[in-house]
Amino acid sequence: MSGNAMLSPYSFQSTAQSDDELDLVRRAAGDPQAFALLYRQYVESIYRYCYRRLGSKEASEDATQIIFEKAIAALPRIDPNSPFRAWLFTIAHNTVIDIARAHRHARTLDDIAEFTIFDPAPTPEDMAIELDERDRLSALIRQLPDRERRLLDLRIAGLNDREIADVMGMSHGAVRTAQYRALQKLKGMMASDTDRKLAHVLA
Amino acid sequence: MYWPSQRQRESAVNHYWNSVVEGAPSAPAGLDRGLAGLIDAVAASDASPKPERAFVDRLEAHLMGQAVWKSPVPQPDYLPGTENVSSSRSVANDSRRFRLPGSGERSRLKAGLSWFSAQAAFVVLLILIAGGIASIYLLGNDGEEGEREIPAVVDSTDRATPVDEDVMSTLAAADIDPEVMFPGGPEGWTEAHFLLVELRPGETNLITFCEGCQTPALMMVMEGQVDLSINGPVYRVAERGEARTPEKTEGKQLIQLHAGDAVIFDIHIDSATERIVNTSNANAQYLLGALPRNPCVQVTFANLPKLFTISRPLPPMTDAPLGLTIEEITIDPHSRFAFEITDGRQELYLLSSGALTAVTAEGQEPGNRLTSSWRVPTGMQVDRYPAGSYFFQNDAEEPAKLYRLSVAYDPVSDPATIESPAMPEACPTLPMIFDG
Repeated sequence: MSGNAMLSPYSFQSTAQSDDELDLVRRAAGDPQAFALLYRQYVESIYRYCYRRLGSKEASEDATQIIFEKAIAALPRIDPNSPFRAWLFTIAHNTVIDIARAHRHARTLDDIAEFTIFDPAPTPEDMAIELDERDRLSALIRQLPDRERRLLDLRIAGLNDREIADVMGMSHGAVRTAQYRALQKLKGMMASDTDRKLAHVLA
Repeated sequence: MYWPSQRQRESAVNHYWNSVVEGAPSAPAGLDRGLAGLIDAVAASDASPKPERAFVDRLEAHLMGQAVWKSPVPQPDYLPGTENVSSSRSVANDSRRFRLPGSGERSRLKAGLSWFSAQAAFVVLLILIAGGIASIYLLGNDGEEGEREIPAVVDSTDRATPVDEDVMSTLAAADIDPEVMFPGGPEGWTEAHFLLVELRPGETNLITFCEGCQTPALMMVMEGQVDLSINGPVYRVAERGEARTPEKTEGKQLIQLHAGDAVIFDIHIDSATERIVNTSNANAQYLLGALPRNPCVQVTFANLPKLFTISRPLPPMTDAPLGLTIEEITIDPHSRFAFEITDGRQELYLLSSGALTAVTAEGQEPGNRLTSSWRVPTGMQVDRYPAGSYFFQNDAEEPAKLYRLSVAYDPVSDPATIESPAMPEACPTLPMIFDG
């Protein structure tokens, strides 16, 4: 199915994680109620991450369901001392890629990066007319190279650099460099004629 | 004047972004103010909507109902080649106990129904029913199989495998309290679990029961042939699809099973580990059932091309005739599949290939939808949902396949009045239909 990096629950570095969450993670594999608490804590961020990546309600709901089903199945092999959020987002990251690949008979992953799986983005002309500044920035992010866009999506989801490194299988240094380059590119894109207005606002 | 290096600029951006993520922005020295503003804008650019409350609740119910909570796999000391099974499976083992039946359930069981024996009786009945349909080949059991060694378990954590296999390589039967999940069900209903597992040639599965569990279980080979090894007694109750007087084999023996053969495991052992190896050159399939009130069955798969996990309430154990029907249903591309959930109906569905999307049909009660998608290898516990009509559509270009498992039985009046049968020596032949 997917040819992307395997889920490696044991590879995560320890980062800050509350004692309560550690306890929940330790119990979750055998205690549905503990898992339910984790689910309630993360379902919104996972769903919104999927929505950003997939662009439709239906696709995001499907992806969210698959992600948590996979998480349940993989829970017995998680290191409970590893950061759960990074582990869960690794599943989400790979699942979204799998879903995108499942649809690549119609579009490539790069296409999806630029548009969405189910709802192609409007043309730049349309965007210029209809989108507000926030949406315009989102549209520019979608024009970044795939890896940098994924990185920013994880940043928007609230992950720190170490968690992103775990999820994307990169070194911390590579994450720092990639996000810096992504910002520089964004800054340059906003300085272009079509986005001069937004660049002015952010200056 | 301070001129930060490229690395310092990257670190400053990273530091600031982390602080924004944590909700306490802190601008370090050397931070480009323009990039800081851009980080703020990116962080605030998320226009994605929140999930609908109904979806969140529905998915939670779905996950709680079909989740596969499990305990770690103990290392059987008698099985060869298990030394290299990853020790990572023992992580947090003490915290992964299954819920046992509640006090109300136990008291009811004490009230006259010999839970154990009754389950065993049902297992036998089920197998005999299944045996009536199953095929095919028989190889003689020469009694010397215990001398053979079977291949070591392949630990999926130690080899390169596809992602799906990695995350789905271990599954166990669901832990559901029927009194909670089926509040409207008939008094005395119990729960059963079935796994339909496909093994490719040479592959090995481990079936592990947690310590202290009292779990009668059945295994029936649907296709191919497999070698079975278990550390407790096992009873062969069907051979080549024919019911037979249970033949006991002591633990740690190797048993060769072919399509149509069925066994049950001794119910009195504290801990049992079963090893199932496909020794043929073709795929093998077997049905594993754990009956009932069993939150403890654990299955560890070295490979997992196909799996179904289902659980459902079953009527109280009885020696009354029981009919079991397994059907395979194909939903053509762009076709719709409808089924009715009726209170008390003994029927469930398992998706074996493809994916189906829940759709709301005209005239359907609002909100009467299952979770939005239905995908392999997820089994759908349709019984958990309110009675009504449900519709799924195959939007793909490939057919989707479902298994439908139906149980027909004679109503039982009062579970407490049921005698506790011992391990049966013979069982009546009961009807079973298999459309495969």
